[in-house]
Amino acid sequence: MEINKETFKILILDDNEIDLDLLEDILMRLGFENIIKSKSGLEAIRLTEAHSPDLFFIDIMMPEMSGDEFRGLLKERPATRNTPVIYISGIISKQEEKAISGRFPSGDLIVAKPFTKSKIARAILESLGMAPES
Amino acid sequence: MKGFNGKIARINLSSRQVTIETPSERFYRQYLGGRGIIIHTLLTEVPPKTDPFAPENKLVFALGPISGHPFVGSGRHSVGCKSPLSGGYGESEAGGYWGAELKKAGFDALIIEGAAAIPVFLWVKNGHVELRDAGDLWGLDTAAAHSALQSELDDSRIRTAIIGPAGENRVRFSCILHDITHVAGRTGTGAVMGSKNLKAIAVKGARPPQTAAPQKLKEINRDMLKNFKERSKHWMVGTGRGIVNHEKTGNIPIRNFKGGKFPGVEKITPQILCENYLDKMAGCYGCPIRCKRVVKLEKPFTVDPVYGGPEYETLAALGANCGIDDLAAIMKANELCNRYGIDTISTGVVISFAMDCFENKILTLHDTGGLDLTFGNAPAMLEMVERIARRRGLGDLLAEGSRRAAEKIGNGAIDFAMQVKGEEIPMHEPRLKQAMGIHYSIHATGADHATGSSDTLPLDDSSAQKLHDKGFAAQLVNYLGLCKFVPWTHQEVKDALLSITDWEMESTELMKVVARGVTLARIFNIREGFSAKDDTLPPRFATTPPDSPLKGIDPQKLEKAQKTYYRIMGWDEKGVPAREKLAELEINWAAQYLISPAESV
Repeated sequence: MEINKETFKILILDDNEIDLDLLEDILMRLGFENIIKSKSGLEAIRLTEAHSPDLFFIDIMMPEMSGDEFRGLLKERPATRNTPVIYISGIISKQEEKAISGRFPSGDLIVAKPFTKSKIARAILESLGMAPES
Repeated sequence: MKGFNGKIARINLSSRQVTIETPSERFYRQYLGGRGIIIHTLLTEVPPKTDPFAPENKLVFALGPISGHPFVGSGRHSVGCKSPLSGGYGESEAGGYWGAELKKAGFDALIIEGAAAIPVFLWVKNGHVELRDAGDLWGLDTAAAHSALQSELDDSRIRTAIIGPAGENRVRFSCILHDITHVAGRTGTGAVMGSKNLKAIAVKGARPPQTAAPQKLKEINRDMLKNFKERSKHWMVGTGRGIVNHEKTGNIPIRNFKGGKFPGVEKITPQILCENYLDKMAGCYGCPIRCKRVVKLEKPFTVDPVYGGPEYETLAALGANCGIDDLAAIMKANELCNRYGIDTISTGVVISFAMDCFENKILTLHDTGGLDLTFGNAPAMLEMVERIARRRGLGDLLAEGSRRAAEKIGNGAIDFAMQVKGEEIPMHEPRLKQAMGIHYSIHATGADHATGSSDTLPLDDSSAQKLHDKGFAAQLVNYLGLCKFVPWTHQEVKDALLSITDWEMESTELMKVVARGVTLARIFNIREGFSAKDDTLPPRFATTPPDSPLKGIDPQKLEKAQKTYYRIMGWDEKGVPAREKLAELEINWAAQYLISPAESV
């Protein structure tokens, strides 16, 4: 299976503008054409309904609505229940990320900040059940 | 996506892995190509404070959207890395055919990372990249290596990017030669290639990617093909046509920028060169102007035409700047620089630095190994070129560049090192072209002449704005893969870009691409420890030389102009890009490198 990067939609939810733009830049460099950005959970809900993303990057710590709460809403909706989610976080260390093998018990992936292009590329492939590129 | 291949090859020399990346169309539109792809890669991928010779440094060859398409001036590409000369952002451009061939071979850029355990070369052919053993090529001069590659690949029409022995020896201003004579000369890219044990990249392709409107492109191109003799004068004798006048105005540096008169300039003109030594004129892909001179000589030196011939910068750097009016010696020095792979500008300026130190008794005959390094001594200049490339005797010290050499020599030698951020100053006197002086002082690569302004006016309140406007226009070509010597109008360039990519980019959007690149390069340098304190010129430029039309640059006026330039760029008083500017340029992400700007400056 290959990702069609022209049509594949990714929503990034992060209240930190620098990280939001950094991830967008990395995804652009990785070839993804459809990137939707949001700084708040409420806005992200509207954007999810409008665009039906194929993958979510969600920051854990956010004011108003946390990443977990947003994830909960996605699980409640049949259309997004099985859409892959990759958490991004500055509060989890690289050691902690390694200790849980980059995955929460729920099955969602976690990538500790600061992120790099190769880390993000690997996480996307893993979230979609694809073998990482050599 | 039209005009591009949409593919970047990443070659890890340590693991011998090749991966192909396919950035989005938005990425290409934001950065265009060339310089844009290079700075994005270096800033996001090279770890802070990386030793330029460490495997973690990256060497990027990048094309622009116009590179390799049937359009006059499209034979250009850029090469960049963290510079071993400055320790900051390094990048240089080259013409010829190599870039066009890479486009035909299916790639928009090559990113070289890691370091090979043994010497290797890359063979790039129609979408495939292969690493091959270069044990037999290592140590060869550039022309010999080029021929050996042609034999090994059994194809005389391959295009090559090669380093010479100087790059292998990590001479900090060694360069990369494309088909031997088209040189990415500045900032020491050849030394980084050498540190990676990469001798060469051979390229062969079939055809460039489709353009959006080939007929329209042909129409735009037709006018230049028909009228290039009226539109450009470089077809006559190449660059340096006005070299005699440059001596009168003070533009040509004389004896390590000491100024004064140099009547010998009459003996080193390109007109004399063409009348007496011209083998042929040569040019680049798709260009009828053919501005490059190939010279041939049997006596008193043998000058092999395979190494091309000297352009203005070389005539000046190894000629007037060293007090030398022996044209044959300058042609020989040019041959040696291309044979060994060193930048003729930096080579000329480090030799003139040593001559200045010698005449001021900071260096003695003992230091020079018995060489009489007085200005005007052509045999001594030629010997120093050899010693630098081979890192022998004093040459080993000078191979470090004038700044590092001066720091080791001490005794005030630093005042004679004509460099900015470690990069030697090119052959346009900033005391005449004072806006160029602002550019030399601020530009991320150090002193660079190709992207500044050639105004011959003294500094005033409008200088910074003029530099910004003219400099940005000059820099745009390095994102597009276009030659600045082809006098296309801005409208023609926009029309060509539209015909190639189907992108209707207004001037504001194009200038935003340039501003993005300049700002990211600034951030790269700040991350590496540079600050406004490094935006400076050698003290000699504050003085007015005797018997010269030049006037010293007023340091206060220079500082004022620099501050104005910072403001125009959206940088603060200390030259640090403001967050609002990053947002405007859609590079918010780069703020992560400026988390503590107060600590960075």
